[in-house]
Amino acid sequence: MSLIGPLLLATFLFCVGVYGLIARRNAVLVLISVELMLVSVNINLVAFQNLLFPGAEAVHGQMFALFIIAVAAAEAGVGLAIIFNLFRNRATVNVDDVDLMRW
Amino acid sequence: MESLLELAWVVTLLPLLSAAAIAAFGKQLPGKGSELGIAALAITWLLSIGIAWQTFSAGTPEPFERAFEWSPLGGGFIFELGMLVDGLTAMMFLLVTTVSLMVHIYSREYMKGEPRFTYFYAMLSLFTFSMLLLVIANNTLLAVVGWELVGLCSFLLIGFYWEDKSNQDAANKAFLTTKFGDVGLIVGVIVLSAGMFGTGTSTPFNIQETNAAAMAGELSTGTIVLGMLLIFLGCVSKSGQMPLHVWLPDAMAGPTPVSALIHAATMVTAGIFLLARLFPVLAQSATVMAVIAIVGVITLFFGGLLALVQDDLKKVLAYSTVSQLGYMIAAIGVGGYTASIFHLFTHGFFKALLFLGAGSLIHAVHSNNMSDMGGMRKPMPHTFWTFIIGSLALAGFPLTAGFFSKDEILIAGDLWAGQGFMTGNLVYWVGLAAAFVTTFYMARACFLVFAGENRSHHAPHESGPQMVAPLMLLAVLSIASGYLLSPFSSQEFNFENWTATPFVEDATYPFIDAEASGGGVLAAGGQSIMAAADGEFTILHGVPTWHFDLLAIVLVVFAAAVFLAYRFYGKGLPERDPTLNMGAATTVLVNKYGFDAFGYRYIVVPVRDTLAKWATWSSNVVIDGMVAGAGRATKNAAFATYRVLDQRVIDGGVNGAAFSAAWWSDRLKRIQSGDVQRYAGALVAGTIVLVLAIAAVR
Amino acid sequence: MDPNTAGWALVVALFLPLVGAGALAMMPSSMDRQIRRAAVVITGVAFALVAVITASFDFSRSGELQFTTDASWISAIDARFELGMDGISLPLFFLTYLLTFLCAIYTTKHLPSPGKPKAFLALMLLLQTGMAGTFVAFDLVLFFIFWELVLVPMFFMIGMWGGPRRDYASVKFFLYTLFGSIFMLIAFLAIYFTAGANTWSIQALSEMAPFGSTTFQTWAFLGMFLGFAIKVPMWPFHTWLPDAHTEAPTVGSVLLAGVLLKMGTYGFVRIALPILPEGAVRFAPLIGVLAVIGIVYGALCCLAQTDVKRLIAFSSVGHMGFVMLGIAAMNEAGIQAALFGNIAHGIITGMLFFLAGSLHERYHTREIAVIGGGMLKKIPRYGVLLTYVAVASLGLPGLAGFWGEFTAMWAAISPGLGLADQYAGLYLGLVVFAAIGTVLTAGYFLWLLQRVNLGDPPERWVNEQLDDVMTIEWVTWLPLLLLILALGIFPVLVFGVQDAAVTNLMGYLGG
Repeated sequence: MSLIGPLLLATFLFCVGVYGLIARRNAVLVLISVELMLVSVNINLVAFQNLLFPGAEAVHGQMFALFIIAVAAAEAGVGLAIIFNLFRNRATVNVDDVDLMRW
Repeated sequence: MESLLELAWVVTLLPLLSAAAIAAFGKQLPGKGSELGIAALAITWLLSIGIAWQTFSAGTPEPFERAFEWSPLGGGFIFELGMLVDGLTAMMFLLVTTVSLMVHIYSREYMKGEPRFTYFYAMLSLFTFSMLLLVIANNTLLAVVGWELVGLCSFLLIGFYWEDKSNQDAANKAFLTTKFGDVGLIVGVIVLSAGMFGTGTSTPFNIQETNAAAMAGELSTGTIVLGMLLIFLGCVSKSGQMPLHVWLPDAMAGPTPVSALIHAATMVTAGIFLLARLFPVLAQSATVMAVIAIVGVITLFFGGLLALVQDDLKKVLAYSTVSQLGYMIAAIGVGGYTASIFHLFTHGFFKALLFLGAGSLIHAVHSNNMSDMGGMRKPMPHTFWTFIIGSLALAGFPLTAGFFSKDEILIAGDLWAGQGFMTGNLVYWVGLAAAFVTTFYMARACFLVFAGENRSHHAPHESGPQMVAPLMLLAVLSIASGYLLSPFSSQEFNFENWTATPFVEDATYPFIDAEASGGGVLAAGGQSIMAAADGEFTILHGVPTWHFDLLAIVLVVFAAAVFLAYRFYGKGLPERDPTLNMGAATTVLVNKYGFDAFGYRYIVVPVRDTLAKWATWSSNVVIDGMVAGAGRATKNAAFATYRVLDQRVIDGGVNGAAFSAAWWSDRLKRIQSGDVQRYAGALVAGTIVLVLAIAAVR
Repeated sequence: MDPNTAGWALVVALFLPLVGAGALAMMPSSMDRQIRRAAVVITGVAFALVAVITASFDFSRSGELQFTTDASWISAIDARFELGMDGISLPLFFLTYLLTFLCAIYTTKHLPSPGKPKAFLALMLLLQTGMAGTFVAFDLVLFFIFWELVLVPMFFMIGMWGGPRRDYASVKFFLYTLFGSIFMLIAFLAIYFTAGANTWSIQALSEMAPFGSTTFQTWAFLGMFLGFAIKVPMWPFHTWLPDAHTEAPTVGSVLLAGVLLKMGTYGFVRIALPILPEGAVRFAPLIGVLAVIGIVYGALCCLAQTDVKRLIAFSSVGHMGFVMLGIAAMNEAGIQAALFGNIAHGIITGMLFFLAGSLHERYHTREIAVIGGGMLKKIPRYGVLLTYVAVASLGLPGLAGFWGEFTAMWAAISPGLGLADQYAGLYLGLVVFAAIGTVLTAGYFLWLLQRVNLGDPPERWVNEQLDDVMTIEWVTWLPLLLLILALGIFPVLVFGVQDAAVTNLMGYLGG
């Protein structure tokens, strides 16, 4: 089985995620970008599982993917809650405006 | 018979108790505490007499020592609290308690109405305790304790009138000058005790052991020379020797009874006492003895000259104290152990008498200056005759105490010279010259004070009985004490016999070649330098014999000095010497063929005006200036050290470390921008760099 | 109480203040007076317990450890909970509890702004545990923990209740001392690994000594030297001291001078010397030279001061110089002198800081020129006390200061452990300069007394109402004043207790 397809897809998604993470100003989109990066990792995990241990009893790759999906969901929940609170307090979701933690 | 000696510690301790009692509840008593001090002193005085009787009646006494361990000092060495009672101790007991008792009684009237009367008495008692502690100590460390305590009491009493800046300065000067000498004393005591380590003793400070070790040759020459010279430095400052005498005249800022007790009779003699205690040690080194003799000679002469130009009566006496202490020191330096402490003994009485007499005068005219006195003979007869007796004793008039003791010193010098030591000649001749000076300034003082018109602005009257009685008793002692060592004393009844101990008697001078000098020499006192031809040492407790040649010289010197003084001051304070304004016809006669004028112009004027002024100048400007300059330089050095070295360099380094840390953190903190996306970018970039780095390494 | 089995007593005495600090923290801050009284009760009980311990201490065996506790603590690194006391620890331990007790009494009436007695007293109790622990810990790790524990409360004491430059002073104090302790810790670690016995026990390491090469010992000693010398403080590491003392509140200054500085010299005597004897011998001349520079230099700096409290702080540099001179002598008398000087300086300088504190409360200034003299007229009792303590501090015989100074010089003339052969001349010079330092010391104290005590009070104070010594001050000060006299007259009180312990210690050094 060729790995090129899934890897290309994962790379593409990851790069989109990185770009979004660094470049977008909207906090929601930044969060989504993070999710994209997590998804690309999941694709890699599943793909390598199938390449290295085809038909094995222990499906570690898929297990990891499932964990990450669960954690990502929690993270999205917390993240959105923060953004929601941020919006309520500051009436903005622009990350450039949120730099209270600078020196 | 030992029972009284066992009680010697009571003599020391009782004044301490009375000091504490006076301080605690003296103010509530009718006599404001003075009666406590007098009562305690009276008991110690009687005890001292008993102890002296017992010690002296034994002939040359074996030292009586009692000591117990007071504290370990580490390394198996212990500090003893102990007493050493021998003739020297008993003699000092007598002197200190007598003068102190007299001063205690005298001060009741003299200090009447002073605001700090009770405090004054507490301090007097505390001083007496400290002095007696120094005297009774059986080890040098305990002596140092007493030595420092008398210094403190002296400081507190000189500054008794502390409202005035000049008095504060005088007190500080006294304490610091003597403290400077104490550097020598303390280091010297330490050096000597370190020398004792080699003997395996556990009490390296013990005086008797030190003396024994020195005589047995167990102490190295270096230890003896260094240790004794350093200790001598302490004596120089405490006993007012040149050039550290500068504090003593200033110390007259204290009340006059204090001057009498501390700065004439007792504390200032502590240095001589200590040298006498350690005499067998210092007798081991010709260098040490020569240094001591030379310092003493310089002091006895130049100190005396200074007294010529004083107007303040107390300062005349102070400079004369300096000079007389010089005699004692010089005597020690020429082997005159007995001569020295005998002069210490008699001088204590007549100098205390003179000071108390001066106090009586000052009390009457409210001024220290002789130019404000004059004609005091009539209104103050008792003060007059006691003061005259004191002056005669000080001038060494035959058959007074001062005559016998001072002649002992001169004879000791003569005998030392006979052994081929230059210092002996110095002591003899300079001592004679200074006797002239002494007589002259005392005669001058007496004439200025008692003769002529009353120049004071008060109507002087004789002091009360509490002041006059001590004067009378001291006047008696100023004559009587001399007969303890005179041609009139018997073989047993003999000061030299009492105060010498076997230690002193056995003291040999290893630097004298027994053969070359025609037999060895032993000197316990001026009279007893005796030797057997075959190197067999013996000592003869001789009664002094008349030295008629010396007696004649002394008489001539005395007469000449008194006569000169009478010529200038006999009619009170001269405006200008009237003799110089007479007509040409009588000039030759009046001038006694010019000898007077010659003497006046070429001896008196140079000595009194030029030489003495020069000496005063050197004392006040050069030496004092050096002291002041040292003080100023120290202060400047202190400021420089503090401001530049401490605050800039050392502390600057410390602060610099902190400031550079702050500077760097200020630069580095800018990375913390607070921009989430910048962090994310850095994270990504960092990851890429890490991956590439790992790949490259692989 | 049997000194062989009653280790619990020491543990209780040690941690009682810590528990007390917790208890104080629980009390509501509004109970101002109750909190102050509670602190007095806690320190009082602790002091009483220490007094009982002292009374039941077996003085005939003062060289051996008594009241020992030895329990497993952090087995992973072989650290044990090892407590005990011998004749060297006892006086310092006693002094710690006495001074803290007196400070607690003093605080019932005097507390600088911003008040907050709860925090202040809790910190003081915490400090007490730290200080006391240092003197009885016989495990290097435990020692180090107590040593560092002291820094925190003192930092806050200076930083919150201090004078105008308190921030600067507190940070400087903290960082400077911490800087030194790092090197000390490195030295501890190096010793642990070099000795190879898997023990941190001070006793065991002392008995094993000497180990490692001379080079190793020199380097390890250098590490410890930095830690202890900064704490002492020795010249030229002293600059934190005047700042910390000047800014600290009165109680802080008293404890700082009275106990904290002693930890440095105690460390030298207890740890650095017996464990690293060869390093100590190599360092001894240097220590001696620095000590004597400190004596003369401290006195010179005192002459230049215009602030009473800063003057007293600088006088500590000189006095601790005498203590270090005793240590540099490397013989029994020297160690005795150093430990005696420790105690005497703690009492005298602690007392001086009390006096400086109440001076500030009366005049609201510490500038000598502003006070301008006449204190003996204005507040005579206070003036007499100042004279008494100043005279004690300048080393007058009959008062406590003398014995430490004289014995240190006496010991230094013939240094032990072979130093006498090599450095006899140097040590003689040290003694001479130390003695000159005593003159300078007398000089600045007399000058101080002349400027503040004597003469007539200047006009601005003439009509000012100034209280003479108050009851609370008498209560607090009287024990110290009596101790100054008692130690001066009966030096055996300290020398005697320490004697066997010091002999024991010198046994480790091979002296």
